[in-house]
Amino acid sequence: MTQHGRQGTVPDEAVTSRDGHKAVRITLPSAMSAVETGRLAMLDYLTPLAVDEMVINRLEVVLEELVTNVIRHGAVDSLTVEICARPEAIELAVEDAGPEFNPLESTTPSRFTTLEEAEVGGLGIPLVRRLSRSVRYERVEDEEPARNRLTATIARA
Amino acid sequence: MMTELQISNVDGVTRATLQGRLDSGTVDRIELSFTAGIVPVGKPAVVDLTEVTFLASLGIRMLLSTARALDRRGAKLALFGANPAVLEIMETVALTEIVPVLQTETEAVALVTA
Repeated sequence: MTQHGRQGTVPDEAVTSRDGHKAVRITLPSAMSAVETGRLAMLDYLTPLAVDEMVINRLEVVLEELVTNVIRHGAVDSLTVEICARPEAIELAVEDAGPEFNPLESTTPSRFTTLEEAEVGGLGIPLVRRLSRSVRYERVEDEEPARNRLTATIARA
Repeated sequence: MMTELQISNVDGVTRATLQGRLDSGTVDRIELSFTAGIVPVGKPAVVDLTEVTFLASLGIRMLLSTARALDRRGAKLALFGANPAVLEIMETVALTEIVPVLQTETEAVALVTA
């Protein structure tokens, strides 16, 4: 448990990425409370790393969009957030064990041109794409249960 | 922090003040009051974002849909006072190209009442 005293979640798990960087994983209920709990866990992890405030804001927006996407569309009981800071970028991954679904294949709303014609829905994933250096989807099937994993890589500068 | 919403009408201009994190949970809670406090009035409106600390897609949708509904009633809506982080998110989705974003309330009021 962290300094923020989060409750109702699986305690944070310190993990090591495949290339040796320290990361943190937290499993959360698929409910709106997961957004704030995940945000506080992310801030706990990032605070010692002296990450620029604008970068933290981008990470908070990406986290919000990825987590709410699972809550609203994933039809699952829980989700997992993983954060891994590398020298040049921070990776933020959200996993769920729902049916295979790649949100990156969804239609991207056209760029706003006029107030009357602007599409007001479906802004979340396009926002994630634009704030991230890269976004990738994987269907993880090498362990049970199979999972959707969406990873956004956000530049540190 | 809870997002707070205050709406007033001064000299024929609707003034809405938002405070705190405009995240999905709080937008779900305040969107109806925000829209209902601005659109049916049918007057030019300005939205004070000075105390907004966070904005994501649902907040953008709320601002956009309210601006459009008011536009259909023949009145303009402008935003003002966004901090750099909030402004970056609005610029990232090009909201700033279709909804005016000003630095000060004076500028915003001048634009919507012109």
